Amino acid sequence: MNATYALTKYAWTRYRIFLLLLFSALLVSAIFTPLLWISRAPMWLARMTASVGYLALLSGLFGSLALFGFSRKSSLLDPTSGYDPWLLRQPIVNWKLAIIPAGLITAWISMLWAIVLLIVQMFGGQDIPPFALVIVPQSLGMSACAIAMCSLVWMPFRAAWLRIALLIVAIPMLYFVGLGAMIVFASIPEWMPWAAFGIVACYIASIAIAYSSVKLARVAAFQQTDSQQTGSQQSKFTTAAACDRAVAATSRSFPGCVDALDWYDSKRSRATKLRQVLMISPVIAILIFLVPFSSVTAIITLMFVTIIVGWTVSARFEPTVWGARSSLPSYLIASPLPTRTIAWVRLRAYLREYPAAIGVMTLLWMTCFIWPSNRVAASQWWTQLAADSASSLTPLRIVVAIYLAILVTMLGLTLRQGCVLLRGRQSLVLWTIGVVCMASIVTLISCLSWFMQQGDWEHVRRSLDDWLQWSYQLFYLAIVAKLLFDASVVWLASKNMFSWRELASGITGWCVAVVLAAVAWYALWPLGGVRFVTVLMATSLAIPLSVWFAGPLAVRANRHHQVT
Amino acid sequence: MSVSHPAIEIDHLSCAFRRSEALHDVTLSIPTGCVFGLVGLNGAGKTTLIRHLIGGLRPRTGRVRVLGEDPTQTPESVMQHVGYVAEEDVLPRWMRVGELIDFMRALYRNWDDQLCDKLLEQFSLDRSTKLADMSKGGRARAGLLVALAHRPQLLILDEPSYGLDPIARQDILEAVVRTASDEGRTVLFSSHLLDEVSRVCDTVGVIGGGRLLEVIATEQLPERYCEVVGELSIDDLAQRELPGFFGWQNRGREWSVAVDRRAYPDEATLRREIGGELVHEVRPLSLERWFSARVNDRELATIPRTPAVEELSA
Repeated sequence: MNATYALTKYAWTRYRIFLLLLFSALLVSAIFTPLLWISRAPMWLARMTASVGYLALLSGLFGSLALFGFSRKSSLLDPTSGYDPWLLRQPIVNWKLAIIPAGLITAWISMLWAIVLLIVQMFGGQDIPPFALVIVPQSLGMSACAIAMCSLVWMPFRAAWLRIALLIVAIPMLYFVGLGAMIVFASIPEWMPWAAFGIVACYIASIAIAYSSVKLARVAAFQQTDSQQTGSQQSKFTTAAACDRAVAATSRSFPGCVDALDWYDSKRSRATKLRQVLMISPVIAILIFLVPFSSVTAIITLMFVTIIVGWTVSARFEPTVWGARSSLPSYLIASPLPTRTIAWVRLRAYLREYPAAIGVMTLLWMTCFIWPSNRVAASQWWTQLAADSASSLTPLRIVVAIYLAILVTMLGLTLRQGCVLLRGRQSLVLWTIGVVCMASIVTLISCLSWFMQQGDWEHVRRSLDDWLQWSYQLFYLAIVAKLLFDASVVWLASKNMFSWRELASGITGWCVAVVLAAVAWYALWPLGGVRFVTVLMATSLAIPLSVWFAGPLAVRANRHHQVT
Repeated sequence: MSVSHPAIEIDHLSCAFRRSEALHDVTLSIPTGCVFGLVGLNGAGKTTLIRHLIGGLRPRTGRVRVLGEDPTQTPESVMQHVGYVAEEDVLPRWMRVGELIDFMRALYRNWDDQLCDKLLEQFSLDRSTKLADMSKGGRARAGLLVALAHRPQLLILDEPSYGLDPIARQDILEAVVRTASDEGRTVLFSSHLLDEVSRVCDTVGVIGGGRLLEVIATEQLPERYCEVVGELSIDDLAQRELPGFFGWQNRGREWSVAVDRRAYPDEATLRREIGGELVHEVRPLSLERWFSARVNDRELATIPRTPAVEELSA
């Protein structure tokens, strides 16, 4: 078995579950889309099935970095190389360690891109001649970008911020270069030879960078081991002096266990939060560049950015979940902390992220109004709204009402997600995140694809009104489902952890919060035709009740595992 | 917390993860003040048993009581009096030693600052050092410090010295001895390093294949068992089914077997039963030999007895 085969097998073995899921989604989509088309099934169903395949393809394209990047790094903030240290220790020459992942990425991207173009050609009615001439340079261009990204992860740096800074600069740059190359190939034939030459040059350069990254990573890995040993020897001599300084500097006294846990939970997730912000900032930077094109793109951008920010806050990847028996470390399992304290302090830590998230969103929304066209569009929009509602609706009231709605929705989403994470069961967390992501992306793409096809704003409004009328049925159904679910959770909590008195006070507190939020909302934005009862029910749907009892139950199940 | 109960009571505890049985009908009582050594091979069920004791696993069959209470029902009350050092290197690496101490001090009512400072000095730990920057031995010492500094009534150590250097192992053993020297404190010490166990434990339990095979006081071991060394062919050995014999081992024609002395009133009877002229030596059974005999016996009991197995056991 040679090194090429071994590394290919390694990539397959490590990520086979994702690859199998991807291929399954593609296969299901490829089989069912034409069948649904022929069988005169509802058009939305056929489109949805096609979207699943298309999303799988896109995620496969974007995921090629993770799939074949041979990285084991959990944090980009770590200045050491991200290349799998175990592979660096193997007797494989440097060029193979660089070329093989690069080759795998290129083959993977070429295959998926060819499928994408084939689908576009077959179903979209777009003719792309000459096919091979387009696929090869475009695939090479995208691969060059992907390999360059991998090289940045593999490269060891002296300071962690340097890698992050380079990534933030490189991602939008590579995005626009790649987009430019694709546009050139699609629309300007006379520039094609120059573009092809540029792409091949970029590809060779990216391979050269990858090789030097691997070489440096290998050298640094061994140097680091030596320096760490030397450092540990030296540190023994300086321990006594450092100890006295440190006692004064770091000693603190927490008033109680809740404060200690609070400090622990907020500090524990600091690195995760920073990593998430760094991950989404290039995406937001790319989206912001699209804002000035038109008011429609501004709205799309805002929707995307809001969802990304909201998702980042709610979909937290707890570092202790992966590969562990429980998401709670043993020093918490074996601690004398009450289970409900662990749950509530953790949920409170999630809520603490709201000011930051809301701040980022405000900043992004305000960024949109830098462009005069957006200011004009917004002004027209709320003038229209004020006229329709026949009330003194000021921009401030609209903004406050929207913020309240976002806050309430995000609160519910985050706490529910937090509750699932508290259970700590890896498969449950993965499935929940997968289903939520899939549902959100499919809904979003369906809405956007419809929205972008509309030319008549009045028609959009009428359709929205129709949809709102129809959605009332679903709305009442959701209320009934929520009541049933809450009742079952309360019953379960009464059996296991909480007294009826505690449950009653929890329910009363929830009722007060719902009524206050609904009154505030209704007072801020009295839309014509919408009754207070409707607002009250919508608020009760958005503000979670069961979480406060389900959270401690989840921690209890996580802390004291029941086995067969 | 009442001291009239045994420190640990396990009653007919069974546990299975999917298809593999981790514990089978384990019953054990560890009295207060005992230093109990739990020995077994890797995967024998030591950690699963300990996870039940700290409340990490809820028993489906059987009952577990720690200091008289169920650790899954009232963890906040039980764990105030339990110190636990995990097998895995689980301490939060983003913390400094000082931060870890401050955090743990807030959780335990009986935290002893003087003892903490003493242990810091003894273990050469620096409050300002990040746990991520420490060696494995350093982190083990930090874990031990926070487990000891609240003066627990029960100290549970799950293979604490696994993979550590001799100095770190020595620190851990000293901590066990010191805890045990305080009146009314109990130590459960899980390990497969038998020299450590024999040095500090007054009672030893051997676990194999999820079953608690035997529990014995270390000082009773030489009185209760002996090892017989002799010379016998494989064919002769296969025919011998003597009462109280277990854990056969051989090198060439020389063989050794552990023998329960209760089946034989004196050494002469024992020699006569085997065939006196073949016996070279009858000597006290060491802890290592007792452990290997019990574990081998258990391993062979799970395999159907064929001639090949007989040969293997011989």
